Amino acid sequence: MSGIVVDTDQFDSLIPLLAKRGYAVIAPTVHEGTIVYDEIATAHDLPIGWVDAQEAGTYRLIERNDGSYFGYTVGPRTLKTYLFPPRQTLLTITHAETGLAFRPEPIEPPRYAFIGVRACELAAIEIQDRVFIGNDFADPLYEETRRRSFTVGVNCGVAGATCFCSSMGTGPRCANGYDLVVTEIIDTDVHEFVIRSGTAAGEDILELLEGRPTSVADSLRVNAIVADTEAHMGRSFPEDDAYQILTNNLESPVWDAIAERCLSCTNCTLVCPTCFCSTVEDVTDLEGTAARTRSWDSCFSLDFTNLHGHSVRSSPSSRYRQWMTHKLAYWYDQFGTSGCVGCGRCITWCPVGIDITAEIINIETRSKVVAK
Amino acid sequence: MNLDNLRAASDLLSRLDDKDFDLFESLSAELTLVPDEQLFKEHDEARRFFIIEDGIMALEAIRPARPATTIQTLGPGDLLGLSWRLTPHRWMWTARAVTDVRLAVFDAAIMRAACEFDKDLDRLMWEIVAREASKRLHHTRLQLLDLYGSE
Amino acid sequence: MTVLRDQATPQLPVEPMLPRPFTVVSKKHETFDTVTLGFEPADGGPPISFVPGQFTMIYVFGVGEVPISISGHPDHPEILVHTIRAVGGVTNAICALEPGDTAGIRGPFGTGWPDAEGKDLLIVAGGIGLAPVRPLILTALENRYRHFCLGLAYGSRSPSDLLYRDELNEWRDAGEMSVGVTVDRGDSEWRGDIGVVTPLVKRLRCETTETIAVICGPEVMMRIVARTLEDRGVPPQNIYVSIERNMKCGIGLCGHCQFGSDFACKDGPVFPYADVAYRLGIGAA
Repeated sequence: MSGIVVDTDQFDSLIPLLAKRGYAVIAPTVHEGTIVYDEIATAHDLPIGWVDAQEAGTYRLIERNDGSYFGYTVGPRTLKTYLFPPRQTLLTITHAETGLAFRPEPIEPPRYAFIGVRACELAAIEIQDRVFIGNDFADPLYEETRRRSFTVGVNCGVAGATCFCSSMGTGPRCANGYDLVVTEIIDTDVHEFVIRSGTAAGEDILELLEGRPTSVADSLRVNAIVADTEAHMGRSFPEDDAYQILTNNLESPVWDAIAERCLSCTNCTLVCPTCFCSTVEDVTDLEGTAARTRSWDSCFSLDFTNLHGHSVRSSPSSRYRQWMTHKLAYWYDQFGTSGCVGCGRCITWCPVGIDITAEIINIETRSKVVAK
Repeated sequence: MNLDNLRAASDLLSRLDDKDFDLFESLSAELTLVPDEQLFKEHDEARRFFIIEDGIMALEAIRPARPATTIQTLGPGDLLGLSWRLTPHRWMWTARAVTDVRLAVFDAAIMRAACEFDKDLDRLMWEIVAREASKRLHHTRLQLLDLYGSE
Repeated sequence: MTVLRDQATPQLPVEPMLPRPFTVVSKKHETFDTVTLGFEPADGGPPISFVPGQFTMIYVFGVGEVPISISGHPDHPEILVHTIRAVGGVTNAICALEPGDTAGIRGPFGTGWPDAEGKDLLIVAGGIGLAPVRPLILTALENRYRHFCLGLAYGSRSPSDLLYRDELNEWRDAGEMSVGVTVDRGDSEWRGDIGVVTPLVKRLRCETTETIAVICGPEVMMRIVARTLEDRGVPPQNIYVSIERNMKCGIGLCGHCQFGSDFACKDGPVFPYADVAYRLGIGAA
C-alpha cells in the first residue's frame, strides 16, 4: 500500500471525486454549535478552522481560524447513524390468500463515503461488525451498507479532554478498517495531508490524486503527531482490570450513588458508537397493510425490560449497572472485545457529567474499603 | 407399631438416634381414617400428634354458610400437629382426611413427660417443631405471593 | 461427576427476522385466560422442527410479536402447538385467534432442555410453566427406558388454573411417571394436595446425585425449588431453569433480553442453575 502527500486543493478534490463515483459523501460539518457527520457537497462544508472544547457535561466550539480541517475530536453523531439507521423498515405485511404475506424490505442502502473517521470510530465500526455480521445471525442491511461504503480515516492531531482511546488500545492512530487514512500536517508555512491507502479500493482513489510520494521524513512527522496526541489524552481507563472490577462488584453501593445523579435520559446510548440495542414496532395503516420497523432503543428506558407489565430493571441503579457492565465487561463474553473505544462521548454528552473513567475507580476503591 | 418404613420419609423420625427412635416406636400406635373423617377440631385440646404414613390430610378452617376451606394438605412423612408442644395445647385448625389415611399416633402428655426426663430429647423436639413451623410459615408466605396469579 | 450439559443442537432458521404465515387449526380453552392453539404452515412450507425448551415469536397482524414456548411433541411437529396466557396486548390478541385465522411465526429459537438419558428426570413446573416442559414430558414418556425414575411436580393457583388437566390424569393413571399436583387454594371438589410445590418434590423421591432436574415457572418459585433440590443433594449443575425476559428479536440483536452476559433468547432460555444462581439472587441483573 502506498502513500502520497497532497496540498489542500488536492485534498478538496477528493470530495467531488468520490461524489462522481456515486458516493454520498459523509463528513464532519458544523451544525447548531456542534460538529456532526452529515452529507457534504464540497470541502468548504468541513469544519475548517474549528476546534472543540469538551469536558464532562460540556461541549463548545471555538473558532481558531488556522485553516485546519481536522483540528477537533468527535461530536455527538456517530457513523452508527448511517450503518445502523435509527429507524428502518424490516418488512411489510398484507392480507393474502395464504392468510398473511410477509415481504422483507429490499436491501438497497446508499453508497456512503465516510471522510474524517477517527481511530476510535474505526474501532467502533469493527466492534459493530462483530455484533451485526460476525454473530449467529447477520443483519443484511448493515452488511450491505458496510460492503458498499468507502472509508477515509484521520489520525488525530489533538486529544480531547474526555478522550481515552489509548487506554482502550483503539487509537489515536488508525490501525486498520480504512480505505484511506489521512494525517493533517499544519504549521506556520505548510498545510498538507499525508494520505495512505489501506485497501485496493483506496489505492484506486489515491492514484487519481496528485502529490509527492511519502518520504521517511513524512512518516516521522506522522509518528510525532500521533505520539503527541497519545501523550495528551484527557482521560485514562483501567482496561486491564475493568472486567474483574465490574463483575466482582455488582452489588456495590457506588451504583446507587451514580443513580442518584443519572437522569436515565439515554444520551450516552444515543452518542455511543457501539450501542446496538433496538426495538421493533408493528404499525398498520388504514389500507390494511402492516409494517414492522426497527429503531434504536436504550437499556436506560424504563420499559426496556418490561415483562408482563413490570420492568425487570425498575431502578435507575440497575439500569446504569447494566449499561456499564455490559459495555465494559459482558461485551468480552459476548463478542470477544470491550464494547468501549474510549471516544469519551458519554462523558461529554451526559447532562450531569457522569464519567465512567472516574466511576470505575470509585467502584474499585470502594471494594477495597469493604474488603478491609 | 413398627416405624421402620416411615423412618426415612419422616423428618422427625430420621433425626432420632436409635435409642429415641425405639422410644417413639414403643409409644406409637396406628390409626386409619376414611375419606372425610375428621381427626381433630379447631380449639379442641391437643392430646395427640401424628405422622402421616399414607394418604392426604387437610388442615382447614370452618366457615359459616360454605364448605370448609383447606389451608394446606399434608402427605406421607409429614408431621401433623404442632400445638401439643406449645401451650395452650389447643388445635389451631381442623384436620380432616381427604383420602384413606394411615397415621402413626403419639400421646402428647407422655411425650412431654419423656422430654421433661431427657433434656437432649427435649431440645431436639423443640428444634423439630420450630423447624416445621418455620417451613410452614415460609410455604404460607409463598402461597400468599400468589405467584401463579396474573402478574 | 461432570455436568450433563448436552443440550441438543437447535436448528437455526434461514431468514430469522421474516415470519412465516401459519393458520390456526385448533383451539382449546385451558383456563379462563389461557388457550392452546394448534398451527399449520399456510405457505406450503415445512413444519417447524424443534427441540423441547425452544420457543417461537408469534406475530398478530398489526398488533405485535411475543416469544412463546413450543408445547407440542417434537416428533410430531406437523401441528405447531402453543399454550398462551393472555397477560398483555399481544397475548390477548393471540388468545382471540380462531381456527382459520393466520398468524406470523418465526423460529425456533433458544436452547433446549437437557438430554437426561440414563439419568433420573425430575420436572417441577408452576403455573404456565408446565407449557414449556410438556414437550420434554412427552418425549420422556415415549422413551421411558431412558430414565430410571421419572417424576413431575406441578403447582398451580387453583384447580381451574391447571393446564392439560386430562393429560395430567392420563399421565398419573398410566403409571410411567410419578405425578404430584398441588394448588395454592382448592375448591369444593378438589381432593388433591393444597399448598406449595416443594413438599411434592420431596415426595416424588426422585432426587439423587444422578438426577437431572428441570424447573419452569415464576422466578421466585424456580429459585426456591432449586435451593430445595440443592439442599437435598442435587448438584446445581444438574438443575436447569428457564429464564423469561423481554424479547424483541429472538436472535440476540435487540439487546432487550440480556441477563448478565447472556442473551436469554440465544444463550437461553434454558440455563443450568449453577450458571444463573448468583444473578437470580441479586435481582435485576
